[in-house]
Amino acid sequence: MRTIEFNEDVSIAQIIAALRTIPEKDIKIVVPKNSIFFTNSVNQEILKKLSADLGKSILFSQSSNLGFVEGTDVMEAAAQTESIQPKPQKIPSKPIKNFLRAANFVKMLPKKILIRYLLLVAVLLLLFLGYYFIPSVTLNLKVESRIQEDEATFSASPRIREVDFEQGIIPLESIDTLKEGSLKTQTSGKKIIGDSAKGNALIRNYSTAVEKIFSAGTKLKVSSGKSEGLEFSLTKTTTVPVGSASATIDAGGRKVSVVDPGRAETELVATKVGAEGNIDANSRFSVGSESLDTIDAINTTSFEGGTSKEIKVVSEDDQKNLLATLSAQLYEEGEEDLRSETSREKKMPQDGFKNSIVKKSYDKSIDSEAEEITLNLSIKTQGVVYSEKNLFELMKKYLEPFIPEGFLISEESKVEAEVIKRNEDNTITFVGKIQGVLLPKIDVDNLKKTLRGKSLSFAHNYLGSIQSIKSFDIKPFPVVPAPLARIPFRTSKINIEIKTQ
Amino acid sequence: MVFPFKSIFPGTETPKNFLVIDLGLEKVTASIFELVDGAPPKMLGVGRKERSKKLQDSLEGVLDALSTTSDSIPKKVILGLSGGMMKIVTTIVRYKREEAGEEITDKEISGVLERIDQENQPLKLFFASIISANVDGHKVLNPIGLKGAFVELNFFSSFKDQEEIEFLDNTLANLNFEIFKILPSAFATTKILLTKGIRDFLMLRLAAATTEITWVKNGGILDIINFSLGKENQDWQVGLEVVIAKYYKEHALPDFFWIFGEDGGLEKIKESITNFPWSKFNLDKNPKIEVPNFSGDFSTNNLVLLALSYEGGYDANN
Repeated sequence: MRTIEFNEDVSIAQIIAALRTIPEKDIKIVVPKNSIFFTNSVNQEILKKLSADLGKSILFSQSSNLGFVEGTDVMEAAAQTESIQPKPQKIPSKPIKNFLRAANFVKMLPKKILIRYLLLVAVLLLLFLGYYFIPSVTLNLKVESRIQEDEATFSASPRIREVDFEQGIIPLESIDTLKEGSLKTQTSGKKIIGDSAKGNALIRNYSTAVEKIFSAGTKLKVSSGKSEGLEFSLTKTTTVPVGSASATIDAGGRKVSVVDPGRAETELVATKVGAEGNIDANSRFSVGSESLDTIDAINTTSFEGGTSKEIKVVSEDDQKNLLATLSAQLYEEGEEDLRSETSREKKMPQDGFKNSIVKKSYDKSIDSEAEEITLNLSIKTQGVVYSEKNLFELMKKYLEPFIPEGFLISEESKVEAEVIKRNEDNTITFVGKIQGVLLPKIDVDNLKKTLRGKSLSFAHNYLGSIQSIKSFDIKPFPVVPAPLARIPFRTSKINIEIKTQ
Repeated sequence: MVFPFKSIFPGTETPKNFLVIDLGLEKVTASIFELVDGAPPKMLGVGRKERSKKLQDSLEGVLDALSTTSDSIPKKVILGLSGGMMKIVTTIVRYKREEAGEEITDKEISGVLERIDQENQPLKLFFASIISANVDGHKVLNPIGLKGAFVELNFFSSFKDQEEIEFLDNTLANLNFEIFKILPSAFATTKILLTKGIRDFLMLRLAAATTEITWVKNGGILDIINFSLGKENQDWQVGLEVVIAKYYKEHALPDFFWIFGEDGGLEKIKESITNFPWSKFNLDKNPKIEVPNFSGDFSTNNLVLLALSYEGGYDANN
């Protein structure tokens, strides 16, 4: 049975990793009594299930000594690797102890040898300078990012130039564009036009007591026949005198009364255009609201001049449809224009447009005869833009209290704004959203100082020991044999690129 | 400290401004809330910090963050607890009252609770809530002030190690705070999720390396279970399986999961739950998984704070 001891801070994930790594089937797990492992039975059940799935048998035991655990277990070794940060190695220095003695030695040398020595020194010096100044290295570090999302309500105002972090306001810039266009369409309205039939008629008054006056416009209707109900009107005011009565005695001795109606000639015109009004002579009419027994009219000649035809005219819907279609098209063009003005730096909030009609003219009015109608329209589209950098800075400030220790907000974070209210003072209220990409904090300057002049193997070990770095790649320039390869001495030659995994 | 159990009765006097602290699975979050007549509590600022072994350090960090958003921090605290060892007990108490003509009092209920407390020693009762009550066959919300002979009380009660409760009390007292109410965060969160109309569900609260599962059956909490694997562990699913295996034979597995995290990043978990072989737990289709979404100022990240703030006297069913 293999025994593995863990310290109090061990995580379940670490124990699982050990179970997977160790080849033995029977494993005894020793953990201090006060670890989460023993205070929560579900954790033990999880381990039992996982080990059963792995075909292993485990036994739990509480360690007697608290604190650091000694041994040669692989997990412990791993834990040690994680916890111990490599210390910078000191490069042993070899100072010249007696400079004067060296100078005397130089004086004693023959000239030729001295020249050779000097040349050698010069070459070595050049090599050293080259070795010091030329090499560079690029360290590509991959770290694991975390995503943290949040949102909050802020304002944007055209009256400020810089972000007001206290009040949560970012500067706002207005942009606008004018779009003009015209659109033609076939008219859809229909209308009947033509002339009304007219002619003379005789109005007859059968009353012997009351004279009748009919004003112009009084309506008369055909009282019978195929044109019954057809309506006409008086073209002028007409006065019809009273009728006269006479009586005679017939052969049987009876008295017969005869009324001769009063008559007035006048002119009638059909109330509607069309040939229907061309009625035959001797048609009888009722006059206004009068009874046919007391008043009637008759046309002495047939009526003429009634004609009609159907024409196309501009309808109200024609104008409305034109306006709807063209304005939608110009709104879209205007908004597209403004969108094209945005950039990585200048962003437009969602729902950030306001459109208004500047000029609108139709070439035909409603009801006028036309086959086509054209609309000329000018639209002003206004938009507001904000600096994404400003929004990022504001959201970053807002999110900062919530980010875990040891992390910082990356520039890769995404921010956006959604307008929720346009205020009368030209400010807007918006919901700022951030999808914060959190990167582990890596002190780049300190890292450069630690690594400069060190061997590549040291750099490998050191970078590998930093938990927040998931993988890395060291690219030295120029490539030299391994024993000579070092991280440059000058930190300016060490380029560190941090990317998310 | 003896907790007065006053929190179980509706209508308890509530301060106008109070602090809500959620001791989450891996984070400590605090927020100041303002209570204005009948309206939902208004959040005035939030502070969030990693939960470290030194709780006082975490709390101080959170309060520092809060102090940037508010001039003053209220002293009355609603404290929500998550993770760690917590025992959940649902107890039905039935008894006959000798003095049926006299009103049921606060003291009488406290006496019942003390008995429940004693039965669970050495753990300490820190929160209790009457889920349902019945007096002489009449279902009532609050039995206090009613008269009757036969009383049935259904309590949800939560226990923790006494030392832990005292430690929490002392830590907050050191920071000059007074605990106005202490309860499992999951209890408050469940209450607010029940307003969505689903009465059987699993509520999964996920942190990086810790998960808390609240099993809700017919509107009541069956258990609150946590384990030390979270959304950043590949074996996370095993924990869920162990928890479900513990109950599903006696209680039908709900087909609805609410999930939320302490800092987002739930897509992998949703995928993991979706791909789980649910048929082995007698579910013939995948459970529906939803991230709770509430309108207003509250993002899902602040769900627990919102839920805890409602414990300050606002009725979410309004």
